[in-house]
Amino acid sequence: MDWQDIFKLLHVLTFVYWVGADLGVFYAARLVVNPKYSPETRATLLKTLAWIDMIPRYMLLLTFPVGATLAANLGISPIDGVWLYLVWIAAAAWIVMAWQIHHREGTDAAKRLTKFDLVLRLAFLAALVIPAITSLAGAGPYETQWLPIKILLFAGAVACGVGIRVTFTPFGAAFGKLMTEGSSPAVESQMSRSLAHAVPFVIGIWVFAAITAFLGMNHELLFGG
Amino acid sequence: MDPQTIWIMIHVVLLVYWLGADISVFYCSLQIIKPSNSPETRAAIAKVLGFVNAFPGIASILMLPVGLMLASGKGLSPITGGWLALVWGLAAIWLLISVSAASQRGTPLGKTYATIDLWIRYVLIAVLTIAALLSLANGAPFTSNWLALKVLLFAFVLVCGLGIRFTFAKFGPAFGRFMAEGSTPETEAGLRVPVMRVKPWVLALWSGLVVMALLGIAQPLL
Repeated sequence: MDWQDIFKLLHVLTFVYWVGADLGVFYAARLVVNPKYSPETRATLLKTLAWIDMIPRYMLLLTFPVGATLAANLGISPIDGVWLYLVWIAAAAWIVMAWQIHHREGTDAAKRLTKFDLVLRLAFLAALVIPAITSLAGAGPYETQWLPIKILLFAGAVACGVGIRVTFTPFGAAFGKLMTEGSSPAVESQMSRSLAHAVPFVIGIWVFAAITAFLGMNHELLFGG
Repeated sequence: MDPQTIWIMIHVVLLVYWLGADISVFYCSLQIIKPSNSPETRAAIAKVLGFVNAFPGIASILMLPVGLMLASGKGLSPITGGWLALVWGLAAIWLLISVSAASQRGTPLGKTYATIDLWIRYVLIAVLTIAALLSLANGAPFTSNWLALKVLLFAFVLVCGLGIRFTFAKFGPAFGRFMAEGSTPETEAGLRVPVMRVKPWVLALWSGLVVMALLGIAQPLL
């Protein structure tokens, strides 16, 4: 047993808590849009959902530095040495930021940070996709074929996360209305619609995460290296 | 494609729906005992808890046959061929009994299923512990020590599951009383005490699963 095994365990655990915790979020969301419940109950359900939802969010951010460390130890990634430390520091800072956005929800600071987070995610997507494609084309920087494919699949999950955020924006506004003005058919239908629009992206994340994990576990059997 | 690739994936996905789903159950249980939440809110959270909690129950039962599948594929287990089919058959019956116990909770039939499920677990804990200790001492039936240790830890995790079941048994009736009588110091305590007592068992179970995952990943020569 060595450090690589510990990082492998961490990598598996990030997958476990990412997809596993999502289950509670998914089910609680269906109860939040149920008009039979009082606004107070729905607010508490939403708070519970939001708390559980932070776990997959942290895991998405954590799984990348862990994966980068594993790849560096295999000698198939250019992100090594000082660069790897930088990736870890950036991920830690991003996790703190995600926590702050959740913690200060509703404040102007949180709104500004949310916007910044979205820009960061788009930049992150570009940083994932471009080198993966150049690597598949044979120009590097990643060695092996499976690693850039895995990074592309991970980027798919990150993109679905952005999709959820965009489709779920009307939900927040409608929920705010529910809390101040009470239930109305317009508010209820906006919430239900917003949730329905987010569902394909949620399932998309699960599928991308699952294929990514499958590839990670079996690259030796599938690609021979 | 090597079938092992699929079994490894299923093995890990079962961990996802066991360990990963459990964190939602844990957090929901803390929300249910929060006195500031209304009975209606707590009943809604109990619904979330009930839904999510079905997953670890199912995943834990399927984990053993899937693990034995992997072990036989690697030539580490004597349970192969027809014996493996038998294990799958027994696991399927156990799963049916366990799911029926949950879906018919509160009825006499549900109680019978729960009792059978309990006895299956007692027998399994004994069988797994003996097989693991024999393997550690003599190198058979399981040829690797890491696998024998995993089998022993699986028995440990089953014990933790029983610990959870017994300490949490009072929660259901306490919740019924809370819903009928509303929030009083007694009904609140009735909810809080089982949730607090179940914590050590839950943490022990999670630790057991993490160590098992590490053993499966590293497969160290012990």
